[in-house]
Amino acid sequence: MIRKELDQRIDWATAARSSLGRHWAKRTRAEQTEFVSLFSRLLEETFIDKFQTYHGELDKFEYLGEKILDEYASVKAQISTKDHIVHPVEYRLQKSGQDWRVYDVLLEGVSLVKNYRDQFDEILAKSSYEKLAADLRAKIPQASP
Amino acid sequence: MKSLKSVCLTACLVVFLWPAQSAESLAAQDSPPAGRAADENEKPFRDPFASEGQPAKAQRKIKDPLQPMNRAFFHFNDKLYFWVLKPAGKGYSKVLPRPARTCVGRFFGNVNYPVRLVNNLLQAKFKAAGIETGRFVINSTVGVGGLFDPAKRWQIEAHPANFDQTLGLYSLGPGIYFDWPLFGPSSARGTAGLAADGMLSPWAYIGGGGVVYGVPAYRELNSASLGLGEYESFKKATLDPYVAMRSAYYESRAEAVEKSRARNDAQKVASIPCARGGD
Repeated sequence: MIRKELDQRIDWATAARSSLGRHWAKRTRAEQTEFVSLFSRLLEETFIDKFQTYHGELDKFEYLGEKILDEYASVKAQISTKDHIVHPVEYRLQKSGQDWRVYDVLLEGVSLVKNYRDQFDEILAKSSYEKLAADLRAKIPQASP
Repeated sequence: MKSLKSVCLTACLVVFLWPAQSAESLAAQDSPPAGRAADENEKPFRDPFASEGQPAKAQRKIKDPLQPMNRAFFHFNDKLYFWVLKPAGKGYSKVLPRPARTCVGRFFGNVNYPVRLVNNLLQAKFKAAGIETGRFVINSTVGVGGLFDPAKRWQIEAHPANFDQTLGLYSLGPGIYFDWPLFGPSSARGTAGLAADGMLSPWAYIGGGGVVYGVPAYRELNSASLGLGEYESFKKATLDPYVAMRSAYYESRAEAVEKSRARNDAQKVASIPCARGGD
């Protein structure tokens, strides 16, 4: 059920494409489609895992402001936890049709997508795309064939 | 029980993703991206906000010539966590409940006041330095030596500052990556900063060797006990935790420098005297 919610709000295709950076163009259409699916499932698992850990600790959510550039938007906010620690967060969204969907989340200025991009970059530099895809498949807990 | 959990999770989801709604039309249907040319999806994605706020330098690849050594240290820290810190943290958590440990964390935060004060002054943040002094006085007195944080409740926010940030503000690049055993990720600049800030820490001057090493060790144990599970979660979410940590370290330090720079600019603008009108 959470997956459904996430799929509605998150632009997995753009996030996945962004995470491969300059390597995206080198993959075949089939590889790209599979990559988007693998990437989204890995992040969904992580998201769900984090919610289950932290949802009891959330205290306040404060909207700070937004900036719109053509069909892209950046929304800044602040999340406070029950032990009074404040975490700055930024959502980046892209407009598709009537919808705005999230393609990146930044916590304390650190971009989630960029973090994965740096990891994938390193793996691709040292081995191959096949290895990256295999690593992703291995990471996903209930990877259905 | 299960449905209650689902409700809580959904509520949380809404909280996390609410801003996505505030920027979108409420009548939005989930339609597939329309009108985008097929070949545009072939090109690498360019984030229009990516270069915002950070100078072009920061976008360059992190230099990590010592990677084999760093990876070895990373592996060492990994084992240290699972074999020493985690069991110690677990035992310690059983002895001292979480609110008390949070208090202890705040005490150490308060004691680091000289580090923040000097660095705020070096960064020419006189207002921030003044605020830090105010917070320190309030928290040390009313806040019982820093165990509580009434200054925060009274909306006097802290201005974290360390020497790494100060050097960054004066445009010193971060330099190569180091992943020190025990201390964890750092850069050449960050390591120099750690040494400089260490000289400002009160623990360097109080008591003998036992205090100098024992107290920071206790501080780290306390801090680790509050975050048990985070490292495991981090490992689970990453394909290459070494790279993930390195990347996050550099980005967060660059962000700290940028925030400092933005506050300085705001301070400069605020201090421009208004043009005097005719008397």
